[in-house]
Amino acid sequence: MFRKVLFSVAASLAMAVIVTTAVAYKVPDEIVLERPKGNEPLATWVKEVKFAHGFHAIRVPCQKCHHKESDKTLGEFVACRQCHSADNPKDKTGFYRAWHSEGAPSCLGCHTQRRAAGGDNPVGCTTACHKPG
Amino acid sequence: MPNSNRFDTLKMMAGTEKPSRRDFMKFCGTMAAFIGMGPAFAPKVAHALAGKKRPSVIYMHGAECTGCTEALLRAYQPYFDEIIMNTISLDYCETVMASAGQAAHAALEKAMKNPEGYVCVIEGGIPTYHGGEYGKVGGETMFQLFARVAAKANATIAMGSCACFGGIQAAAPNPSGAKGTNDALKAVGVNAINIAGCPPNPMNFVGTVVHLLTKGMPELDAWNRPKMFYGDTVHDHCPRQEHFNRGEFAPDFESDEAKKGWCLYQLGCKGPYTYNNCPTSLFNEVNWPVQAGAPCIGCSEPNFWDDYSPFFHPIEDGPET
Repeated sequence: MFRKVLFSVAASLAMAVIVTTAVAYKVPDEIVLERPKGNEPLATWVKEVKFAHGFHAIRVPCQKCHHKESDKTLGEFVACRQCHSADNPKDKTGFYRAWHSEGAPSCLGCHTQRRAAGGDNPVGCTTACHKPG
Repeated sequence: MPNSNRFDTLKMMAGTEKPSRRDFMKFCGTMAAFIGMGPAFAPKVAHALAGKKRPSVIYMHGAECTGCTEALLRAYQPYFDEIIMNTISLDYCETVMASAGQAAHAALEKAMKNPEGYVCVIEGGIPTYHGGEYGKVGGETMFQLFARVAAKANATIAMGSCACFGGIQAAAPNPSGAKGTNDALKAVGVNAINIAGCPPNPMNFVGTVVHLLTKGMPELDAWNRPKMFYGDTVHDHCPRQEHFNRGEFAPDFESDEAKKGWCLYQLGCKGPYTYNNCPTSLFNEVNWPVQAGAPCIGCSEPNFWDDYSPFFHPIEDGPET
């Protein structure tokens, strides 16, 4: 009997360790959205965006923004700029459009849609993302 | 000159001369390009428009200012009368029809019995409070009448921001409970194409009709607006964008900077959040607000008015800042 209990405790402990290792990955709180190397900024006054990643991570499913990722790549998600790197603002998959196209996963698209549906999501260039200073 | 074939059109309407084939094909070419097809698509447009049976259109007016009809009346290439004479059969439209009263209503009932079906265009918000008694046509509420007409239509087009999203009628406190077409008439299975704007560019309406006639349903965005016209923001194609990029903002409408054509963002321009083709297609190919020195007010977006006012202050900044 004692052996059985010991075994089940050990088994559940082992399971717990396996599960924690599987889901133990860091979800960054604040990240700076960096420009891909060699990409020229469109505007001279626009600074790097400090993105409240943690704030969004607890409100939106990861795959809503990391749209090419799956459960298999959990914890190894790549940065947006890895794919959305083109310089041209008119390029639909370029760096600029990654943040400024209609609808999710783009920041502006998601915010405008949620705002129109009654949300208080900020959309202003200088009030939402490109904050001065 | 835009008016070059105006006289010819009048002569044609008087029955003295047929419209020139060359002018017609020119329009078809323009329209093919406008809906995103190459010039080779022009004959297909011509075939659809010159068909013997013109599609019947019922144009309903709800809670509105008739500004969208006024915009459409000023459409050229083709002129509105040409659209009526050549392209569509406008069987009911309170603004331009000659008959009135019971005769007009009889025309509506007759058009609805058309065995070929019809396209329903709705302009204006639909008052819904108290059974919709804030707006009536011929003793019937707009809510009920529009539901009756749109439910049986082959396709429904909501013309203008009031018909799309409620517009100014739905602005707070919205005493009549005005709603957009899709919002109000969802229960009767209406799924209208939204031609948003206050007013929308008439070419967006004509282009959508041509697309429906030639290629069927256009691709729509999350708010049911055709992507070919509402796919990019006003900011994306704004001629003042280079000033935005350089951080050159006009501080005042009277300032030298405004006269030099600097960016109007700090004067309340909503271009970065507004999806429309104003800068590329222009109104009647002449001008558009930002080019004329007025900021974009976001008129083609849902919640236009409440979310986008005050007009001359940046979004999210109150008038006191």
